[in-house]
Amino acid sequence: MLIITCPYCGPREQSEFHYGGEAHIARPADPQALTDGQWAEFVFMRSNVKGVFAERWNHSSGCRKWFNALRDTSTDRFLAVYEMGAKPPQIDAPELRTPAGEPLIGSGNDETKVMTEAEMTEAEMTEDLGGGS
Amino acid sequence: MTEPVAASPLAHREPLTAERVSVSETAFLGMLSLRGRPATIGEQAASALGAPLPSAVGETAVAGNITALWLGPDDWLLVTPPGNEAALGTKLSDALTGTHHQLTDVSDYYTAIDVTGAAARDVMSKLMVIDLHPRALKPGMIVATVCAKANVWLHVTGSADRPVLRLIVRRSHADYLWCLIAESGREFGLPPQLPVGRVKLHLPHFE
Ligand SMILES: [Zn+2]
Repeated sequence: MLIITCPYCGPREQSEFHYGGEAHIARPADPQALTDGQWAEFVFMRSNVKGVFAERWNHSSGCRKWFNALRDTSTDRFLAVYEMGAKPPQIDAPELRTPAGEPLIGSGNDETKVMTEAEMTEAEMTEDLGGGS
Repeated sequence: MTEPVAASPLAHREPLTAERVSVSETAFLGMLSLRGRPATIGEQAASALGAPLPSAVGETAVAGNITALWLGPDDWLLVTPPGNEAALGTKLSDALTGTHHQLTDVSDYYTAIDVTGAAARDVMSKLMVIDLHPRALKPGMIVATVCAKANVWLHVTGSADRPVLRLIVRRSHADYLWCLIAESGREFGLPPQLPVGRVKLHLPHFE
């Protein structure tokens, strides 16, 4: 069970909250002036970080207020909560660590691979697995 | 033209009683939703109500026949006996004239289900995640939370060992919650209640 600390109500179960996506994305002042590409950038593109992420939450079954949070997306740990309109607080971001000790990029399952690169023959490494042209 | 008739969403139910727990509806309570910033409306609201608005999570304030429940930092529910809501609304909106606020009569949206008795906390703790133990939830407190996936306000009165757990629920959720509470109380002797529409009930924590 994930416990989220609402800045107004204190610690509550996740089922009382709704997620609101990435925080601090300013709506363009003049949307009419944007190209479709720029508008798509605003609507769809998010930073999707692995690590500390600023995001919005709504305590929908509690006080019904929106607030911001800093969450480590690799551990689900909430590092800070702060009010809408406030700047993210400075935090001592812990070194990125997951329960499995994964690296920054990729699944991190390198050590459990059946065959390491050193063990592969050159033919296996350059083998065309796609069956394409 | 026909005259409007007040109909409670649980009019088809009779109070349920067992040795250590009882369930009943308190229908037609007057309820006003008051919203505004405490710095803007606090003083005028306090003088109209006769008590300061509660200012922190869990707090309630009682002034005569009005109970003010803290729902959020700028959000209160004012509960008053049936029929008193119009007078209270007029009094408050007069006091708050000129301030930025919102005052809405929501008496029709909600009803109250009272679960009382020594086993009331045991019955409800099967349906809710929050800590219902008296060390965490004392008489006089309000909690906005989830009960079997439905949003409820839980207002606790009575004493620590004989609490009155008042669930303020949306009228469309009332029958569903009523039947689930009865189901949860079966082990304490509450009779089974068949939901309107004969929907099969499952206690979420016992599926
Ligand atoms: Zn809250």
